[in-house]
This record gives sequence, structure tokens and C-alpha cells, in this order.
Amino acid sequence: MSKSENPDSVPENYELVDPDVRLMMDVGQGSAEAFEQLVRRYQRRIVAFLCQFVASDLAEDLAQEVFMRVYRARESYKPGARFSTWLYTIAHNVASNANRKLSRRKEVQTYGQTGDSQPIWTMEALAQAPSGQMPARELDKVELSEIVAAAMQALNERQRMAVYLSKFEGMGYQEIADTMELTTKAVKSLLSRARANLRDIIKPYLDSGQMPGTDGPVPVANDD
Amino acid sequence: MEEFIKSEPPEDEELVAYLDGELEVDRAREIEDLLVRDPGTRSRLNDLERTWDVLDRLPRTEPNDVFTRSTMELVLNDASRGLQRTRAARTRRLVATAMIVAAPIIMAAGAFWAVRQKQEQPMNDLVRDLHVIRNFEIYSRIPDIRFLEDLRDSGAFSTDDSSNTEAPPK
Repeated sequence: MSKSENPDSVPENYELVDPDVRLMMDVGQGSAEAFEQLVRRYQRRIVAFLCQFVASDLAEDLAQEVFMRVYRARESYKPGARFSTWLYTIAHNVASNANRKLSRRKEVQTYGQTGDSQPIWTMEALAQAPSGQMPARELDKVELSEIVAAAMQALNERQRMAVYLSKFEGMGYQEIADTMELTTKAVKSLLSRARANLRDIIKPYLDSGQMPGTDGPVPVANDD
Repeated sequence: MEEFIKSEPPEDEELVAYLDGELEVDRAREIEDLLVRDPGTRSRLNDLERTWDVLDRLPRTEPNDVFTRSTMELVLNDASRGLQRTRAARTRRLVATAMIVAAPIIMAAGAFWAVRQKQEQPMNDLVRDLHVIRNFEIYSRIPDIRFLEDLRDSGAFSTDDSSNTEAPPK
């Protein structure tokens, strides 16, 4: 379960250990096929990642912007980390910029207000959602999915990103730190608070089926 | 029983790091000992683990079917525009370089022409006045312009008579 950190580790030759780095080097040599392969390999993950930060209809546009940035950087690309670390750093920057622009325009679409394509993910909406129209087991599945989504949305952006990279990208603390430009200590603390927040929101439902927000205010993550 | 719980109960941060496999080996062993003996710590760890596991239920959005193609088109169009911009910039650089190289040559040529003109000016004047110089002796016999006007008025060089069109005898 545990692993020791080795601060004296020699920097890795990422070109040798990461096939995606090699593909990116090929892109730098002008290979459109290599680039297409990278797009195919990462498009789902990048879109899913961006959906954690922006509405899903915008996520695809932003994913294209991410790949555009990757392509534009092909000639100056120097493998200093795993390709995915570099890619998620770009994706994080793109998502943050988009959110800043949206909040400047005061057009932030909160989940539950996005109309047709977005699931209803606000805590309030979940608490008020009608039940009893679906088979209990199906309803449980849907409810649980929505509660998990709502719990993720209740985290602040940095916590959400750390959780996503850890849970769905399998990144270790060092990689998350590289991606988010933080120290490993900060990542450790960030993930700890994020997981405590998730526990506080999800546990009541798992234990007793209690919907978040029905018993006092929904815990919302503070800024780190 | 008390001797089992020697170490401090772990904070959430340590439990999370333990679950993530990011805890130092010694501390991880202490926590493992504690987990065996302390139901409270075990329960906290279990809660963190359970809520982490249910994140697998997070709805995942899939990109649409044409995402790859449209991304490739977008990127290649952008690259093509970039190439055109690069070519245009290169052309501008070439023109600028050519002008920089050509300017001194043109200026030198102009200067050379001007000097040459200046040097050739006396010769040109002589060429222009060659007819006068050749006939200077004849012209010098004519007292003034009035005399020529009188000759013209007398009809001596009238164009009616073809014989009069010939040049006056030298």
C-alpha cells in the first residue's frame, strides 16, 4: 500500500519510457498521423476532464483548443515530463482561462441551469428531485451518479482537478504537482481536504439514503 | 490494549496519503498497526475509501463521433494558415533584404551616372554646338541678327522657289 519517495531520483528520459512522448516528437517532425493518434488516444479523457470545469457543450470546443495548442507547440516541445502531465497542464490552463472569461462576462452556467444537454447536478435540484417514478434500483443508480457529480461540483476547482487526476488519470502526487504547478505537500493537503469534502457529502447518502442538502446546508469546499 | 495504540491517531491527510500509497513506509506500518487495533480509524479509512470508490459512478461525457476529424481539420487549417503567414513573412523578408542590398547599388549607379554626366557635359556642349563651330567663320561675317531678319524679309530664302531652299553658299 505504501511507497517510499525518492527525492534523489534521476530525471527520466521520457522519450524512452513514454510512447506518447515519442508520438509528440514525431508530431514535431511534421507527422500528422502521429498527431491524429494522440488526438484519438486522449480525446475522451480530455473532454471528460474539461466537463468537470465547464458545461459539456463547451468542453468539446475547449478540447479542440487544447489539441490546437499541442499542435502549435510541436516544434518547441521538449519532453520534461510524461506527455499526459504536459497535456493536462494545458487542459487545466485552457479550462481556467475559459472559466475566467465566463465569470468576467457573468455568464457562468451553473449545473442545473444549462438547459438540454447538461444533467441536473445542483445540490438543491437533487434534493428536490421527484422520486418513485422509476424502479428503486434504477433510481438508486441514477441518484448515486448525480450525487457523485454534485459532490464533485461542490469541490473548488483545484480540489476537483486534483481528485480527477488522481482518480481517473491514476496520477501520483508528484505528477499532479507537476500538472498543477504545486508542491507535493500542497497536493497532499488538497486531496485530503477534497476527499474529506466528498465523504461529508456522499456518506450520508450511502449510509441512509439521505439526499445532500436536506439536512442543513451542503458543505461547499473553501478556496485553498 | 493500551500499548497497541502508541502512535497518534492519523489525520485525514495521512489516511488519504495511505490510501493513495503516498505515505512513508514507517508511518504506513504504524497506520496499518492502528487499523488492526482501532475500529475508529478503520471506520474513517473505510468511509474515505467507499466515497472514493463511488466516484466511478461519475457520469462521463464522450466526445461526438466527428470530434477527431473536425479537430484534425481545425488543426491542419490552422497549420495551413500558419504556413501561409510564414511564407508571406518570408516573402516580405526577402523583399526587404533585396531592397537593402539593392539600395546601395542603385545609389552607387545614380552617383556614377551623375558624375559621368558632369564629366561629359563640356563634350556634350561641344557636340551640340558643332554645327556653329564648323560654320563659325561664315557666321562671324554676319554683323548682327537684324541683317538676317532683313534677308528673311527680302525673300531671299523664300520656300516658293525650290532653288531657294538650298543652303546659302558658304
